[in-house]
Amino acid sequence: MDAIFNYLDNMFAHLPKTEEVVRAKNELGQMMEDKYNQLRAEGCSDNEAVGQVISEFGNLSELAEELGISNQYQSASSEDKFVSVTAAEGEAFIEKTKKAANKIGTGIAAILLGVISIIFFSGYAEGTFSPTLGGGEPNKIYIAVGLGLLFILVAFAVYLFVMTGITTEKYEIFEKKMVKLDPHYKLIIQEAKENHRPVLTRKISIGVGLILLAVAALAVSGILSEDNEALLISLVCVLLATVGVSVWLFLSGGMIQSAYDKLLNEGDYTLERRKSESVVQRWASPYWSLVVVVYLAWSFITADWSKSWIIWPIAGVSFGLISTIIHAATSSKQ
Amino acid sequence: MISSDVIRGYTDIIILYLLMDEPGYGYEISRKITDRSQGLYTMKETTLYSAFNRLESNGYLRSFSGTETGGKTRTYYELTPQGRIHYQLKKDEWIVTKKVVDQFIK
Repeated sequence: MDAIFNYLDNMFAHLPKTEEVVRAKNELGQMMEDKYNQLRAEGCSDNEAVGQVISEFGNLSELAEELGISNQYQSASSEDKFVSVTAAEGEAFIEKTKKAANKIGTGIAAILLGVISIIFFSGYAEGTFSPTLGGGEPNKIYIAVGLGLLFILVAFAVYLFVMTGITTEKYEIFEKKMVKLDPHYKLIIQEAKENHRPVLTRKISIGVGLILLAVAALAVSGILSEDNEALLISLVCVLLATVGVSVWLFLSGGMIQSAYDKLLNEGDYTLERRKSESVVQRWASPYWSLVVVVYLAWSFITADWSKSWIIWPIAGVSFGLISTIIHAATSSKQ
Repeated sequence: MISSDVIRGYTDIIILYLLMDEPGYGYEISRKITDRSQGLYTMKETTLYSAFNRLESNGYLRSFSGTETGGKTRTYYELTPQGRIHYQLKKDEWIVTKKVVDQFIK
């Protein structure tokens, strides 16, 4: 029973206390109480009755217009720190996030494929795979083919990233501002997040499992057949392909999870986390640009494409480490 | 499941019909709607309240505070003479609407 009045209080919390609003609240409360009592009398449990009453409550925006409080309804929810989101906007945001996750996943897979091709072709050029080519000068044509593929695929990936950036630009406000949802829609999102949890867990465990398998294969063959460079290079390629698949799994699971978190102001998007997150984001793009420069410079100067990829896992782990430190530092400051 | 867009134009007629013979209060009307429609349609509380509010400001309903035999004080709604006229108009409109739409139903 209390749950019903809490729900109603929440719904009306940001409305001005005019005569009409107070009357509406009392009337609605009366109807809900009557319905609750009737359901209990018919043998429903407290939970069932509360659930049914809340689900049949309707939508407050329907009333905002009737009572001539639509202006207040709007302005009360668009305070500085808050952005209010309707059910339709929320659904569109989740839909866009799903598409963005696929596009970014495809882009990253394309880049990894490019790196695979340059590793493979430079290995081929050095005669790693066929003894007939071995011994002499590395065959420059193969390196050129590998590099060409790398650039085409990177260009494709950049195109996908830019497109995603444009379509998701208008949702960037959810990153910084706290989101205010209609309480009824909030319940729906909470349930959706709950249902998504096992999906996310499954995707992460499959992704981690795949990467571990590929790393294990590489490590074992590195020990057993140290001299078989063809095998090692192939396994590095397999590892990179596995990383591509796993990253796609992490993104499709993780981005939807964080879309729910953004709408609910949970996880990484509580008030404190939003503050430190913006610090991380400020230096994330110069950081990754620097990594790309180092990778390309190293690779072109030494022409050692089959080793320089090691920069990526190192950069990735360092990034995770540094953002954790920033989060810890900002939260201890408060 | 009835879409709320379709029924919106007829929430008035439903409420006016149920108040035709005697005054009633919020939940009473809500339960009668569910019962009479054999559970096929339940009017949301906000829809019902906004309809009461609109009908009252148009002069079709009058509200007063009343006490049930049980002792609870509630807001009751009763039909005004204009409300009866409005009901007749909505009824005629529905008969025509139904006839038209039926022409396109196989």
